Amino acid sequence: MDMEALKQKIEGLDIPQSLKDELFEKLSKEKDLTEEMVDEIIDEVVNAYRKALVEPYEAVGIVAAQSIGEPGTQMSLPYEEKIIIKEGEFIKPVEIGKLVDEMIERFGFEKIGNSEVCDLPIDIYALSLDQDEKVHWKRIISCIRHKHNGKLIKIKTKSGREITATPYHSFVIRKDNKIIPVKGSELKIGDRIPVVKHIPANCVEAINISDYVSGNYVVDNINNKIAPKINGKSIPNNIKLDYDFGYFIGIYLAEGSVTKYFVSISNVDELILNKIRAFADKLGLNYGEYDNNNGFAESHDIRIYSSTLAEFLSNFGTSSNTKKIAEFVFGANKEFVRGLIRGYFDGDGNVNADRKVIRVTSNSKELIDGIAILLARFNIFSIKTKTKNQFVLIIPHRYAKKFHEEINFSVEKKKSELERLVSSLNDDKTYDSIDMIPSIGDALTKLGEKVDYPKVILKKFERKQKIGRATLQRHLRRIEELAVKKGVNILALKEYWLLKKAVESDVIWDEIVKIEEISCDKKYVYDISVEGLETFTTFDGVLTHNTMRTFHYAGVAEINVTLGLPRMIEIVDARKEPSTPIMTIYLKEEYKDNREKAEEIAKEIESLTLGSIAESISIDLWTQSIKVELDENRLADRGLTIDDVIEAIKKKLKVKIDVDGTTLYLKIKTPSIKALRKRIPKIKNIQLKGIPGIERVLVKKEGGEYVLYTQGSNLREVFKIDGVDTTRTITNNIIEIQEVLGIEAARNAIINEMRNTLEQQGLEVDIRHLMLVADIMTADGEVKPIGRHGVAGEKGSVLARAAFEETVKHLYAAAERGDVDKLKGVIENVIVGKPIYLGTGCVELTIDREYEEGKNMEE
Amino acid sequence: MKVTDHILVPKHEIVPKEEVEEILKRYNIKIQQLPKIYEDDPVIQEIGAKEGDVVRVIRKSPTAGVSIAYRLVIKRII
Repeated sequence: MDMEALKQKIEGLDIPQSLKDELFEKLSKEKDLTEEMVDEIIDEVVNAYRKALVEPYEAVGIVAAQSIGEPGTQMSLPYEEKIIIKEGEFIKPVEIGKLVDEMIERFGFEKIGNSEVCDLPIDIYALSLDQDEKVHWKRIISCIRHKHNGKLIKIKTKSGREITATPYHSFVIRKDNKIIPVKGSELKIGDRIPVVKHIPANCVEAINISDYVSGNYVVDNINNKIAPKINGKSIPNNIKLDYDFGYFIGIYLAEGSVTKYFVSISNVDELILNKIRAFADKLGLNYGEYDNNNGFAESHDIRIYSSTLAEFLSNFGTSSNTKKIAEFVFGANKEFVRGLIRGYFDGDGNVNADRKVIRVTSNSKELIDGIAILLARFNIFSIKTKTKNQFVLIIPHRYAKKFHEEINFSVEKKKSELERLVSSLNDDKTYDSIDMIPSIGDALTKLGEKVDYPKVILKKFERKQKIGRATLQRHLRRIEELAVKKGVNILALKEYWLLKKAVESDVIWDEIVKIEEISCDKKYVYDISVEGLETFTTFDGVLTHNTMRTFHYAGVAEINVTLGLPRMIEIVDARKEPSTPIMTIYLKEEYKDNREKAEEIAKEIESLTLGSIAESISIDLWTQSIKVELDENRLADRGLTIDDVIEAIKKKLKVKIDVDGTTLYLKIKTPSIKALRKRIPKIKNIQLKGIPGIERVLVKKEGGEYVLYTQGSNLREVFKIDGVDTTRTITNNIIEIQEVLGIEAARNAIINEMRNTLEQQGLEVDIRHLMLVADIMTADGEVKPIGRHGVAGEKGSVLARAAFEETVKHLYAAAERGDVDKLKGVIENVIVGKPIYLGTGCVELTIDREYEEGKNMEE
Repeated sequence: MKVTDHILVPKHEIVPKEEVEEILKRYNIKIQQLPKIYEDDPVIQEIGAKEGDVVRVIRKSPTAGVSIAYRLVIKRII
């Protein structure tokens, strides 16, 4: 083959230059190669090279364990998710990506693990939910971004809210009257997450028009005027944000449009037309009026001639598809906002008393989102929905009265329809499937019992663990009345304030109706760190949470789990006992849908000792015996009788037992205080029921079946329980798996545990690394640690062993033994500064000569 | 309960004596260089392998679909 053609062919390949050079050198020395054979060899080399590539940013092997940071540093939002912030007096929506990128640009960042973190030296506030279930403005402490290669999840709620986040982004949910964090990946359909229904705001009282128009205008500060540079009428520059101004803008949002020279608003209602005329007169502007009979219906247009006003209004969008709320409105004073909302609903709103809804429709989602936020200024919650190409905002009848009080209509027809709607409402009969308060615990039951409230009602809500806000309010009111009548001071009761807090909450606990996975098309994901409970609000009103650090699990009824780096260390150290041993117990096919059977098996498994069930165990001096006081109710709860207890004690100890009701007296042969005291620990540890080592069992429904989670692990004994699925039940204790299921099962368990731990932190590690670690740890027939007491301590090379830990000891021992190191591995060659035997340092590229010989023979 | 029914336990089978030599030759190793498995391993107990046997392990692999591994049965030294 021609050398020049060969060189050209190799130069065109997508491989490193060094590999190209070597390949050319090898091939150019071979005679009698056909073009076909050359192509084949080249393809093989290129494919082998590609397979060896590691993707950029992919964490590799054990290094990945060392790079895991705090749990929570991987939890974030995509660039375009909008959040609500406050800067000075102004409240505005901003894309989180834009905000974080700008702050990092201005103030720099510090690299922490995978993240770029910027601590903010200025005061910007986020809308944040506190334990009192009120929202407050809290200062943003830092802005964070990091690279993200995986999927995102998109969550949609019943009221039409949406949020997109990484799967490990955390949210908050309500549980037993407390607010606790939960990872996005653990949310499921039916869970309830908080959505803001009230936004506190300082009031912006006035604005300067000049801040919202281009440089083509002249400001006359003495006379408070702004006018076009070249001709044109002036209008006031500093303008008060009052009701009339708000109303005008609302009407514009509903039915207005602008050109360069005038504002045009269409309407046929004389009352609205009069309001528009009055506003124009107030500003001293000329206007013209025109009838318009083309299109669908008769229409009447008013045109206000002012390029200044026209340009100012373009901040609110110029067409029906682009209408939106200008930023300054979100923080404007309430009268202005009231006027704006009324104007908008007078124009585009509808009331249907028969269907009990107030609604408004727009081509612009941004406008609908903005109106929803403005309604929240008045504690009015709205539902978002969509039809074909239009976005709909619905105010449920639950809030009709509030809308009537706070906003109302000017248009007579709509006003009377609203009044008809409000008067048709009977508070005792309304049902709101969205505004439900989840997880009230037993607070209502306990409170009701204090005033002899009907038990049937209380038990119903305790069982369902959710109650409508209006319903709870009604029951609370009745309980208050009963308390006064009976002279009970419920103000002193904790339960009362827990429930009161729930009723007066600033958020709606909105039910999740859809969760889907979507791809991430941008380089970074973003987060902010906020004072207090670390929650902040998106423009859709969804409250979300950025880190798990500030929460503590004490007292929360969940299983505690070791995560992150500590767990990785446990695994590769082959710890005999994990710090938080956990079993996941599955049930057999015939039982897995049966809640009662699951509970029964859970009770059978959970360990029960005499010490945990007795009211007291003590020495009784009078009778020279050990006194055990039992509680019959607690025994019955666990399916035991006093005879069962007596039998268990007799199995363990040679004692005579006198029974006095529910008290046992254990007598020994040679009673002395010392002998009695010595036996007490033994008595406390007598196993009455269940499996030793398993302290707690939770029953959870997952994916359509009941699964048991335990605190503590005892795989061998659990497998003996009738009803347990012995093919799927697992533990995180790898040594137990080795003993019960064998070394190959332990190998699989190591891979699975490491993969799960890394995934929990949002890290992606090619599974081949984990497989290699597991293979090495299990090659000798039992699980061995990676560290200096295990695999690394057995390396053939003295230098490699010394490089790991305890350098001096290894070197001394080697010197004593006169060890020889052949320098075949990676580490020792790095130490002495030689090329390693790997990659192009090791392999000699050769041709299979037998093939040549065969070819020659044919010739 | 059968240990081999568990999802974590791959299929184990005893390799006939006459095949062992072929395996060692293919990998160009001596028999003691194979990964080990103890005689008292729950799976070894169940399939009845003895010290000195070679066991073929048929694994489900996350990367290859199915992969084959061999382990030499050894006695535990107390």
